[in-house]
Amino acid sequence: MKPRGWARWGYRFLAFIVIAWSVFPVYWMIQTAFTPNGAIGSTNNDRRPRLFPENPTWENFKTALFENNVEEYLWNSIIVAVSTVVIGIGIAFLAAVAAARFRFKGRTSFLVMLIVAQMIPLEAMVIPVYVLLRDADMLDQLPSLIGIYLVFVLPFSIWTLHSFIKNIPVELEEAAMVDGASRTQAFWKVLFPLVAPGLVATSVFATIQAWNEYIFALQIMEGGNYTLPVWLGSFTGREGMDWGGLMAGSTLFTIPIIIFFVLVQRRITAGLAAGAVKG
Amino acid sequence: MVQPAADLTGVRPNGAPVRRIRRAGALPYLLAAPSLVVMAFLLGIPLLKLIQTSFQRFTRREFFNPDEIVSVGLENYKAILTDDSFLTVVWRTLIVTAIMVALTMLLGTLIALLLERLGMVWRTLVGLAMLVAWATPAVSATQVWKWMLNSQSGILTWLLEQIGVDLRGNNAVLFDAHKVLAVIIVIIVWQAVPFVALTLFAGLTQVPRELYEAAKIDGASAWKTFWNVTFPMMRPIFVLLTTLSIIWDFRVFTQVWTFNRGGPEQGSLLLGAYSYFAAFDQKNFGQGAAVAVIMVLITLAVTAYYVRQLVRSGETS
Repeated sequence: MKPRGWARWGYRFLAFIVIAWSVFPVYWMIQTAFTPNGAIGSTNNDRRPRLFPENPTWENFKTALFENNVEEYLWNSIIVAVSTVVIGIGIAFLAAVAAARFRFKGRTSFLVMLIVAQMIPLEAMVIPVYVLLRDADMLDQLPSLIGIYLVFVLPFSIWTLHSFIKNIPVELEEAAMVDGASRTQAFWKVLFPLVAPGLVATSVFATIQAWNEYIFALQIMEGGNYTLPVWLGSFTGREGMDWGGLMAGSTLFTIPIIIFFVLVQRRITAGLAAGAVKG
Repeated sequence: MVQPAADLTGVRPNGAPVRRIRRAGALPYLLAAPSLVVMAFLLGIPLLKLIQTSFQRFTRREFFNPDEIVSVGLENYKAILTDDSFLTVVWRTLIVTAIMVALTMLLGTLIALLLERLGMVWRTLVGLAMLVAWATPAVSATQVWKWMLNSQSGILTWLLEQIGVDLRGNNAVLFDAHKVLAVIIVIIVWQAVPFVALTLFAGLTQVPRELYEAAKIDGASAWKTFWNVTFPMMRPIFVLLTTLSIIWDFRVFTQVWTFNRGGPEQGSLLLGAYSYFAAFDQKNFGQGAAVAVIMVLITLAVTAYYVRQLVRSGETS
């Protein structure tokens, strides 16, 4: 059904609108980040906003990075995200192998439990987690946050990795074992290299989740130990705030995530739809 | 992805066991153990604590004197269920969720159909652009929209002014709960549409071409073709996406909280943020927990439906 003539240009016009609507807010974030401070929110209300910054500057990025402790928050975010992913993907992979390669009692319940755990609104857990951590005197510590984020990333990671492994024919490992490889060797030399791309994609996705998380970081960490989202979210948008600095911080926080996401999205989200189409 | 039925029973039609069976003994349990332990401790215990707290009197006073925490049965639930401000929030959450899901599904479907009618280059461009919106972290997205609607120098404020909508001074978005909610809906939909559109498009490509050709020969209009051919074929995926959207939109916290802390006057609080607000702003942990329990129960009910669909489509085998 390839449309022709006017219809084709009509569709392209609509496509252009979708593109503009999708990208413009992110473009505007970057645009503001490069606009010199004096030109942002100048007192003249009637002045038309400019689509491109007149004298682009790195000033806002310098402010964002080296004032307001942001450097520290950035480190916290990195530590939390990396630890979550290293631990989370490590143990998720083992569970995924169990679910994909073995048939054991309770396997289906295990998989259903993962979906349910994935769907439970973790926002609802912030109250008990806060109270428990306070009673244990573990508020305001990065390891506490890492523990919580493990719960965020585990169900999803096990589920996705299990799909990746399931799609690799078990015959490959069996052939290796017939040729005299031990189960461990078959695992490391045959299965592991084949799922490595899936592992990378899942890790990136888990990183994004830990990197973006807001409510627990907001409630559990205190002033000096915030992660980036808490810092970004703390701007209320009242008069007289530094939008240039905020947008620069936002840009630094957002752009790596967008790049990572674009790289792995196809691998990760295809699975969700695949099972549903033919029902 | 559709698994043969035999896979569910562990036996192939000819009676031979499915290959996946190995004499493994305890190995699979050992492999799953670390994950299970983490989930049991870090999800299970908080879940139990949440339920327990929802049955306790636990306010600012008890917060500083944990010895005084007492069980009060259903009192917290009674209190919130007879509290008008809570019922208003529930009602508001239902309406806002319905609008978000309807808009997401509608726009997602339209864009999926559009993608089908575009050439390779345009399709890729639209896909990439949508990934950008999808990938933007919720906190950044909220701040950018807030900035674009800033009453003094927001670009959308300026744009809307040109068509006669005044969002300056006393008419600023942040001063009006309805406007705040409208923007929150826009932000959520902006980020939710890409997943729906791309998933539906992937589904559309799997509808057999012959069906469309047959419909064309029968002289069906575009609308009839969609309604009688495309929609029935895509029904399962529509159902799954709608359920997922409900689950995701129902619990919104970050956008509500970062946009305006649920204000003005708690007028833009949705259920997810209400529980947080009750616990940490009003220091009534018991009632906040009760709200959270209700939220979890509602989500589980919707999830049960989702899991059934998923099991039927063979995803768990």
